[in-house]
Amino acid sequence: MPTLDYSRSTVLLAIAALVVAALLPFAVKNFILFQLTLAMIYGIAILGLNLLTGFNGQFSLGHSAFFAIGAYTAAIMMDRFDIAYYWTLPTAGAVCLVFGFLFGLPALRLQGIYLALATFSLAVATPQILKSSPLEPWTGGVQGIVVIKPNAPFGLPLSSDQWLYYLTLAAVVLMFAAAANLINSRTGRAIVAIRDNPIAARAMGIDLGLYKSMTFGVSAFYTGVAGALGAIVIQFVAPDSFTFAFAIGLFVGLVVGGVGSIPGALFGGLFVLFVPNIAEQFSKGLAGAVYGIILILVIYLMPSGAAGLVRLIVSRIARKPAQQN
Amino acid sequence: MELLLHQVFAGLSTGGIYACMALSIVMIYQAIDQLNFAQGEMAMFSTFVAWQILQWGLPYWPTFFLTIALSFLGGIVIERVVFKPLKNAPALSHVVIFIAIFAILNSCAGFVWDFTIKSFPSPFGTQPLFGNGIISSHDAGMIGVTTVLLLLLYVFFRFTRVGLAMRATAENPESARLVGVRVGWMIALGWGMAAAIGAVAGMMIAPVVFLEPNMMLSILLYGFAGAVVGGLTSPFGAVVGGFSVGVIENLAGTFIPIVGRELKLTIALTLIVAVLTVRPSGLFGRVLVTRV
Amino acid sequence: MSNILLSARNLCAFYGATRVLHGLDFDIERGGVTAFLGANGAGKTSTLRALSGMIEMTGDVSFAGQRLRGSSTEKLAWLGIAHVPEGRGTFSRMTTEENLQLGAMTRGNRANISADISRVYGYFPKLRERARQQAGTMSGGEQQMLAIGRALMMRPRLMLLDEPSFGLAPIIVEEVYAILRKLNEDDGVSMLLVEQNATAALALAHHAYLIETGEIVLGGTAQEIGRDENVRRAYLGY
Repeated sequence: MPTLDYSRSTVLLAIAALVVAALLPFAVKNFILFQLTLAMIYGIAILGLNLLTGFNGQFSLGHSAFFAIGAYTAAIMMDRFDIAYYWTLPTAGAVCLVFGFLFGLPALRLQGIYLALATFSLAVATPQILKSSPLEPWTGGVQGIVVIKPNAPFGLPLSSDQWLYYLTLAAVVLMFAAAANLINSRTGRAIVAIRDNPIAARAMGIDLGLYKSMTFGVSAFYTGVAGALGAIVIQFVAPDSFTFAFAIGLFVGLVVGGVGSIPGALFGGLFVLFVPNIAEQFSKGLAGAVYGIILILVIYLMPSGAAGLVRLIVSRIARKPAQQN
Repeated sequence: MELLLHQVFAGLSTGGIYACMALSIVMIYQAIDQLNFAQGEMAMFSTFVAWQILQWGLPYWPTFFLTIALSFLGGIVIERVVFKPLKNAPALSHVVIFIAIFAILNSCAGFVWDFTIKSFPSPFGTQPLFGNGIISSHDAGMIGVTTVLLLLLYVFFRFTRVGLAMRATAENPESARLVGVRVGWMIALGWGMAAAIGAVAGMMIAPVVFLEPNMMLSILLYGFAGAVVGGLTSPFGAVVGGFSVGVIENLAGTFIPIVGRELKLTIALTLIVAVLTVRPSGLFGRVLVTRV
Repeated sequence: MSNILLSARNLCAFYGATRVLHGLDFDIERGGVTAFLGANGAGKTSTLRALSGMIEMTGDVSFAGQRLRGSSTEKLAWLGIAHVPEGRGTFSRMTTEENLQLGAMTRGNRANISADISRVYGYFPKLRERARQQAGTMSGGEQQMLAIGRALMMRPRLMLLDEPSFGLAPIIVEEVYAILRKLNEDDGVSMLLVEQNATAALALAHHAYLIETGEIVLGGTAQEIGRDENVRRAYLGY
């Protein structure tokens, strides 16, 4: 899996995409905007997962848990403590950073498939934990918590949906840029080295335990912030929104977008949001089956995901002019 | 005292199901070094097939064995069609495929048979055995079936040529090839057997938890817990682990107030994380040493 | 019937994209012992792996008149090639007896198999004592004998042996080689022997080849090779 390279065309493309994204709210209906916002939120969550699994090589089937923690943190802050929504984002991130780091500690000794199992267990157990009575005064038990949709600040002439779209877009730009920076830094190279050859990494003096736990924490941070945004945008959190099925969705988004690709996470988010809908159009009851078949096709035909496909196409196009000389 | 006994026996009977799931999981793990996250859905699907055959009028025991045979074939087909081409792919790809199969089976089951809860008959009835309610006839039946299954497997692995070949394949596929064992077919056979065992587990648990497409997820988790506790490389350990998890779950459920009643899955989670962290080889598994 | 059991022409072998054998030509005589000598990494083990279908290979290999073309390891075992691999390849978690039974996978007749197990115990009395013992708990020498015994159970037409002396004390090496000699002289088992220990190998072999960096640089009878100046200096120590 290649690391990042910033050719000029990539940067230009990103800026162009950003301009288009910024203008969208004035061109599309509120509901589509809502869906795009959700797709971006899933993209951030998937990016979190990518940092852990794609770049650091630690499998996680349990990121739904971190999303849930972030979402509930935001909901509890807003509903029980009347704290403004913008404070919930960093707080949710911080809470998840801690939880992620803590979960990362025992996870240190678990490789590959064993870690997948441990995180799978976390995902399956989470809804039950959220419904349990000791936590009920906070979580609202099975019914969950309803959250009030915030209005645009400073009296800006934007609808709530439009404002939340921009807020999420800003979060995407910030967090994706930060992730890119991280991966290209020395820390990032250490993280990738651990994935590619942990023994060599250790021999080079990289503290495996520290880096792996830290990556777990950062990964959880990202997904937690996404969870908080999700709570605000959907205006509702409930235990059964965060089942193993959701963890599967994030994992699928990771693979389809491209493991080890930062922009791929956005494609993954779009996939996770829209494909189940499309699959349902195709055949209401068999949506899951269509989903599964698409997954199998992706693994067989484009194992590097959408990002890999794009890279392939770009390299083919780039090769052509050279051949013509 | 009576309550304790009742819970222990109830734990043993659900433990039998977990033992079957754990055994299926270990079989595939031995064959391909991967955990089959779709094992539960395969068992669920088999149980639905059994239900359908029963609806068509076939009596219970012929249906039971027919379902086992069909599941066996199904497992082999899945291995040959979906997994064999991926032999050399990275582990991540395998996990994705397991999830894909999970989604496909879950969705197909819901599509064909819908999500309403169905009842599934027990061949053992539900009378309390021994009169005083320590254990029901179905519970006893479950323990009995599980025991018979395990004995058959023991005999198969220890005393037959094919069983020996499968053990060799699991332990050292390269050496197995050198003596002429058709390793590819041994792996397919492992899948078939895992599917068949899963079908037994599904058909035994369905009368208790009722038949619906999402019935096996938590049972799968307990199965994993049993396999981990017993040791992922030991079929015997898987069985012991499964029974243990069943008893632990039931005793915790009865005697530890809140945790027990509402947080049973957390018990499984804790067991898995704790055992994998502290003693990854479980009770009976092989300690794996990585050569640097 | 030709005297040549296996003949290879232009045998090349690959680990992925890297070629490690560059066009080997050699013949293995029926009923004889042929040795491949060479230093570590010369390509001896790769040759055996190529013949066993364990790594990718190209070239013309014919075995007992049949052309071998990309056959799988299992198929070659069924054709009568018994490979005792580097590291012995014993099933360490199984008993000695189970290991021997696994050697008989390609055979059908129960009675013959039992008789053959007895025969192997005849050659290796130490193994009979350890019939029910886990193979992995035995000493290196005993595991080597077990590996050879397992190969014998296949009633092979050709035995491939990868460094049978590896990691063994000199006195055990003598024991093992004495048995190999007996197997060859009394039972006519054809062998292709790969060894770093040139002295021991040349004492047993009829023919020998010298491999260096994936190419055969010398070939002839064992005596000829043993008398060669360069071989003596580099591999025999005098």
